[in-house]
Amino acid sequence: MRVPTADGAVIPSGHELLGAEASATFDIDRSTPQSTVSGAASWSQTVPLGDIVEYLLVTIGPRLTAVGAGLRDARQLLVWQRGDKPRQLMSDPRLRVIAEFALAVMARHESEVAANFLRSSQPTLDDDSPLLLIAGANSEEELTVVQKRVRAAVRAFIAG
Amino acid sequence: MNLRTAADAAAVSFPTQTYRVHLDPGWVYQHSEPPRVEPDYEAPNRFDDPFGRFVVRYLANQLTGSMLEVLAWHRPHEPTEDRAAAIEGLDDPGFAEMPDPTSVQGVARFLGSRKVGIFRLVHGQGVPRLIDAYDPNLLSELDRLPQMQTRLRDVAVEKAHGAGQSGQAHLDQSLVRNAASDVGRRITQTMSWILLSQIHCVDGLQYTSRHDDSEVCWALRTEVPVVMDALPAPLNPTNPEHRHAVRHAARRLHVPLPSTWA
Repeated sequence: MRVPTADGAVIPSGHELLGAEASATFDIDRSTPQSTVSGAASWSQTVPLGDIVEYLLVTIGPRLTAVGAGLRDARQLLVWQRGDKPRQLMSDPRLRVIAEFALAVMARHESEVAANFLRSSQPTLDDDSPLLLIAGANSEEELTVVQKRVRAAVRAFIAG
Repeated sequence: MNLRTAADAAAVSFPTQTYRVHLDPGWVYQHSEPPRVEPDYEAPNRFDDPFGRFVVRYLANQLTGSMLEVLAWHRPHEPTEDRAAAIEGLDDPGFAEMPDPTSVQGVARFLGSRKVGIFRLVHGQGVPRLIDAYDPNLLSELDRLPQMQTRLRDVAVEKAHGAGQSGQAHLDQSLVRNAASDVGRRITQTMSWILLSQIHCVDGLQYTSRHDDSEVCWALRTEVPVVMDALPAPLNPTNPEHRHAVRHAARRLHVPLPSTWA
């Protein structure tokens, strides 16, 4: 898998590029914050979970990915990266939501900036951090509410 | 007094120059298309149009004010840091090549990508009508409008600002300064919608940063003719003004700075 960056370049991570999802990645319309977020959302919902996990591991790293997924031990991420399905109901959707926001921010910023956005206190989220909000969503319904709020914050960050 | 006379009395003047720190400060002034409003659209900023029909541009009187607003995105969140510090298993060989970005690295990259734009009002294209959004008479008149009354009846607003169980919240400075998404921001966005689009007598609002009452900021409609001075300057730690602003904002917000800025 290759990782899209702010300037559209890719970072090879030692794996072959997976055709379908890679083209989806690079077709993201970055002309407006709204189109960027929409494109990132579509990408994150269509890529296999193993690739989502790998994308997060090579961009924001295992520590922050584990926080957002609600894990205490990051090693579980390596299992999912290999293709195993999570037993916990919310792990898959949480990881996809984190990937959506990481990709959207990285459409205009470097991965370190995306990581810091996700871990920091955000003014438009009443000073919560996106990662803890995502980790704290314990049902699909709660995650949908969180996703809507964080999308607005991501749009503001990209626009600002 | 009615809303128009209150707005007249709350008139303020635009300063000689204002600042905007941004990835591309000029970009926001070349693009005035309203956002494409989707079902889940939620205006993020304090004086944005809640319906997404017009664009509001934000400026600050001082570079320190603009830096406070943008560095606020990097304010450490202690519970998240505690959780991150407690993650186990990171010494697994499978993570050997994986990054573990720090907050300082993120701030360094962010500052390295920012530019400072200085904006001035274009003379000869009319005088914009600008008002103080915190003016007490203005707030008192806005409080009486049905659109504002509806907003003030939100459960969250009444819970936070209503007087007693059956009390009704009123528009005052405590509400306008409240930045919470379910209380203050809905109020300020409604104010913006009424003042900047419904009564057609105001082009922009003066307010102060939530981080510092001495930092005057502006929310302007795109029709206000402002222009950027020359090319924006990349944030530079050897520039005394830039250095002062970054350090001031970082101290205020407890944002860790890289050694080049510390």
